[in-house]
Amino acid sequence: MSIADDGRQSPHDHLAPRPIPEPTGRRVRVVAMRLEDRAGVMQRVTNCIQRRGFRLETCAVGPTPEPGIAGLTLRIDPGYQPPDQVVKQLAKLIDVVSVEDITDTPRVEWTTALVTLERRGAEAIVDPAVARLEGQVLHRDADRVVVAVAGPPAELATQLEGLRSLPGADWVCSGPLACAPGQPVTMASAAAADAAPSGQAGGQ
Amino acid sequence: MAALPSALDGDEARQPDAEPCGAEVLLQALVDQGVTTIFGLPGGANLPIYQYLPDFPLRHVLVRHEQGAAHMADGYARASGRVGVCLATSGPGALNLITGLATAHFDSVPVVAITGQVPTNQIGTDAFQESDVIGSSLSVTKHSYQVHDARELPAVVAEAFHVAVTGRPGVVLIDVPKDVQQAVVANPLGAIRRARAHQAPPPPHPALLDQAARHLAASDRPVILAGRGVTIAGAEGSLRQLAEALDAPVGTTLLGTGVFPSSHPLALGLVGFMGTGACNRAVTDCDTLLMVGMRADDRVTCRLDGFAPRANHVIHINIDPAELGKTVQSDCPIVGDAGLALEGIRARIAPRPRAAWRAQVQAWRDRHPLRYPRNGRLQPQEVLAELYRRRRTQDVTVADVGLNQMWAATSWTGDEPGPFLNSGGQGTMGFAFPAALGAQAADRHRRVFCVTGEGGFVMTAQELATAVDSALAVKVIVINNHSLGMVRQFQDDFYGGVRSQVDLTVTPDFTLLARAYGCFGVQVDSADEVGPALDAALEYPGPAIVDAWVDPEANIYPIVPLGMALADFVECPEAR
Repeated sequence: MSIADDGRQSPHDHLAPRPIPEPTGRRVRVVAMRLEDRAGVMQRVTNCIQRRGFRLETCAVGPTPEPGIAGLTLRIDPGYQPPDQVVKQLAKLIDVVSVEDITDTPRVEWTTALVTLERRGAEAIVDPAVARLEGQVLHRDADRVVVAVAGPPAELATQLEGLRSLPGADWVCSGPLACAPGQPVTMASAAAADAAPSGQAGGQ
Repeated sequence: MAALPSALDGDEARQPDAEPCGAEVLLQALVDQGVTTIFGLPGGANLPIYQYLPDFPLRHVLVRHEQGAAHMADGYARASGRVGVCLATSGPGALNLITGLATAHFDSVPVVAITGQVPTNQIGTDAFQESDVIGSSLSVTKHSYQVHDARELPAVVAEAFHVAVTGRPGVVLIDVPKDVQQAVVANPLGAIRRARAHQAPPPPHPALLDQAARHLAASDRPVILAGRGVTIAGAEGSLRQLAEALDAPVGTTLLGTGVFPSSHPLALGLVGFMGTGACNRAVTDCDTLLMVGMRADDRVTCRLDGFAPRANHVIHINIDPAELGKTVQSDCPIVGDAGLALEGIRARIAPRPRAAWRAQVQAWRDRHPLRYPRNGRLQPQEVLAELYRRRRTQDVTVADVGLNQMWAATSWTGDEPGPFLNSGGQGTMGFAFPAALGAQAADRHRRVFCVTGEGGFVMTAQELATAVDSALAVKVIVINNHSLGMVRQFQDDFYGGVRSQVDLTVTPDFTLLARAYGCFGVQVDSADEVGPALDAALEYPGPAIVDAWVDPEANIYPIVPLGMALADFVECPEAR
């Protein structure tokens, strides 16, 4: 049966496959959060990210000077959602003390990597490479060397790519930590953002 | 039978003046929050709570399935405005709550769920009836707690109730391991210290109210859409005053059904996917749209670029900042209580008649009335008309999900706002009957009608035993089309006309089912039988079922074809 017998487009036309729209470009958000350091709080954060269709790229978490408060830096792709949904949804979590989108704010970012290289038989190549890294050698024996390297995420990534051809090259990276020196995180910032007119600009 | 000795449960010899245990502290905390009614089912991991339950002034409604407990707490909360409380054991008991909690949470209903858990030292060992209810419920709760120290119970309960009702209401879950229920509590701890207290947003920003008032005052074709947030705020009167001052027609979302009198000359009825022709045309043609206490989900907007395409200004009021700009972009997003915002705007405008716009809206009403076929078979609208003819303003109508829900919403009539409850966000079939029982438990003196389909009713029909057991005299009207009707209509209209797995010819004889549970039941299949059947059900002092066999081919119209815009709605072809 067709319900469109009045000259309108038939509803069945909508059975035709339609392309799924792509997320509008790469809009990864850099988010600085403070959390109450309670059991399961990271589960709440990551569940919110999954539940809202965001994608978590990196995550760095650790203590702050304030007892019981953890600091968290996230890089989050909002997927199909308006970018401001990232902060708005995370701010609703009861254990979140503050959440700031610092993507478009002057900020500093820092990442650490632990690089392992095989030395045995390749000292002539590896040792000068390690020296060029200007990192801190944490372990060295006849077989391998482990060096800590740190820097802004993009620079560090370039540096690590340059090591890829070295013998036994392997590394692990922390997620970037970030802060916006001109916009200090305040404990009440998320609550304030809930109410201020500027905080209401829902994707305007 | 004498109690058997038990290493875990053996505190029968406890002195009356001994320190209370966690279960007692928990129950006292509920009493302190004003709780009078709990919907629950006992099991291994919540037995200490049930051991002490008779000692407290709490009415317990014994459900037959935990999903029913969650829906009853939901219906209780929607009907009363108070927090609904449900109680389940660990493992399957806790997980059976999830659908009901999701239903409540999606519709911003304050519910506190309490679950028993295996003892603390067994968590993580895959113990008998262990389930990770915290992890399983994260997406369908506003917050949750697993209590590891019985001394925290009063503070946890107090914060849970605060969180459930503050700002945008929602569901909070408290998971209590069995050993915590049994632990002696000598010195309860104080309130939970928070670096950021959970609080309602401050009053709407005056600058934004000024802006909204300016847009509305300058508008020639304003439209107001109202949702459940208006009910939560108790702002039905403010809505009406603003609408009358602006001379602006008012449409409602499915959850907003009942917030504006259907007989009011400014009433547009339902908006959206199955909204009225007049409402969908008015939203399409308005120059300024005010949305209040609603989310603007896909069932409201249909194709997003066809939603209010001629609006120069979209004012959106919601207490949850995350709802602003999530789907519909607003140039005047206002965070705050719906009542305060509506009153703030009202105070800033001078009443102004808009005769031309009203005439246009009336022309759409005349051109697009709600129509249904007259083919000699009982039509669902005829059943609902008889029901609503008997409805008093404060009677509670609870609709299930599917065609029955849409027929009930589009047929809804009232000279005053009145409670119309349904599962809007989740669309949970089986919601209506237990939710109606919860609404009835909230107030025995109100009449509660449950409008459901035969498909949804059987999903939770075991609660007929609860209805009889707890003397909850809900009147069930089964709009029985012997099929999963909305799915059947979608298959007919949008999925190539292939009717696949929608036939429910094999459905219980509900009159016999009613008798089996000790209820009253009557079956009708013609229009002239409906009124007397409803009267008989209303006269019966207990729960009753009116099984109305309606035209199995009856559909819902108007309907916006999938993927199309509000203005593309299609009307009932057979009624022309």
